[in-house]
Amino acid sequence: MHTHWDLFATHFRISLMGWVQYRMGLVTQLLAKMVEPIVYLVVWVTIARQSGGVVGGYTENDFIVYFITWTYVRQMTIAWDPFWMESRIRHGEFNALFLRPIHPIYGDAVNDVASKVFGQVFIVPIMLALVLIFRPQFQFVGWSTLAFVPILLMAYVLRYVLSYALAISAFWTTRVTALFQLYIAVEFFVSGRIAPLSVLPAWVQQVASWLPFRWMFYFPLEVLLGRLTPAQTLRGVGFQLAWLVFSALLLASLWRSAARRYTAVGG
Amino acid sequence: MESLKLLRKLLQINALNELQYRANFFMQVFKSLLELAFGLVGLSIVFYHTEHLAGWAQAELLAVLGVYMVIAGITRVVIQPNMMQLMRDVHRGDLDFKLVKPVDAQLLVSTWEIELWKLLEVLLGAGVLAFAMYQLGGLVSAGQALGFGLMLLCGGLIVYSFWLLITSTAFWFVQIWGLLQLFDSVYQAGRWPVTIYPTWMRLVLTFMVPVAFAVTIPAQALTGRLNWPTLLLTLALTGFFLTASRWFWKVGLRRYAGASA
Repeated sequence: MHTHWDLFATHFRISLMGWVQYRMGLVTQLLAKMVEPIVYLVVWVTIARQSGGVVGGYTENDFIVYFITWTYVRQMTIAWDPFWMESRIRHGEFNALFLRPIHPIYGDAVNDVASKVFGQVFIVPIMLALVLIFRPQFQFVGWSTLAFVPILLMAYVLRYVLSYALAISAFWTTRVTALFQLYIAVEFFVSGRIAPLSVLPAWVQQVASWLPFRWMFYFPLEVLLGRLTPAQTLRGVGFQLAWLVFSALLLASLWRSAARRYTAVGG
Repeated sequence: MESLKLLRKLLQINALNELQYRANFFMQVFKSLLELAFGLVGLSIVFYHTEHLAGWAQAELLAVLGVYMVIAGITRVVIQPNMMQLMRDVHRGDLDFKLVKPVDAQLLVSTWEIELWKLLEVLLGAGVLAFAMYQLGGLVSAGQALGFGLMLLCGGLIVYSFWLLITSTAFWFVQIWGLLQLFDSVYQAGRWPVTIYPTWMRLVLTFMVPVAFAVTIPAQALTGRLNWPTLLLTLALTGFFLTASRWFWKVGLRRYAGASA
């Protein structure tokens, strides 16, 4: 256990230094990701204003608060591994990783955590700038703001594990990008990305309730905005846990056969 | 005349190259359809709540989406691949090989790579546009169509000039990939008419990233909202950006020392 901890700590330090060194890449990445929520914010505020102030239970102010916190949740739950996996396999990077006595996901996950920790330096000022520009009125509820932190972490872990399982499919097909694009497209509409779920048509909400996506994105937002009762929040955490168990099992079983299947390329 | 012949040859080479990888075509079909679905579902969610957005009716917003897809498609077919290649050439010193050829270097670096399969995006965009026109009831006069064609051409040229301006900074800086990505992502804002955005954003989307000129103004021309001052301003700015980007490219080129030699 002790050696594991040392390993993670060292890995974390190395990754963090890597992110600090190439910070410009991270900054442009962050700025590029800001465009999307601002566009939705403007579109939905315009719609709310036209329809007399409220759409699907969201007021103009609610939309502003939603999409500003949206940017934070998005940055904290973003997962890049599926995009890289294909080329990593093709370039034989796993040759060395498979020789190590530790599962590659640990190194990748620690690196991802490091990017999120370092990312705070830039996300927080960006959030403040958005607040100053759009001037929303926040009405946070004490307990739900506290609950938001672990729920956001759960959402991150869930999304990371599920994305990693998807990334592993690159061991079978070189078309994992297409698969991932389909996944993103579905997620885009039923996770709360394009609009709060309650604004979407009823059938979309139905579909969303059967999929894992809302628990990785919309749920933490709902909690932070104080739109859920304690009972509903607990029920949501239950869903998060259930999906996490499912994703972890999927990942583990995929990994076992993927590792057996792997044949070295390059090196 | 020489340039036209050169363009035809480059097109042939690129076509032969792409035909080798036919499976990529089906990937592109899949991607483009997904992209189309993205746009249409996005619009339909908005229409689920409202008939119009900041004075733009449904069919008009559909026309904006069509123009957006056409311009984005053209960017993917010819502008982006060439500018990415230019960036790599500058860093690796491979630009030498293009500079020694007896044609205008800007023409060569701007037309070297053509991703033919991505023309599909342009076609789908044109389809959306045609459908929007049909919904608008064929109210387009010859003058409007002419204005639209002209504004679309200007939009394409302005987008090209911006890409060239940004890519030319590769002569000074190493890390410009992120900058290009940033520029590309801001362009997404063009899915909606820029008139819906607050003033500061409208300024950014007009002069810092030319979304307004690339998408909104051609769509305005098509829906009969274009006035003479805007048209003349667009023409003047197109001339300005073309000249400015060519000048900047030449300044950068003078700085280029060739890394491979």
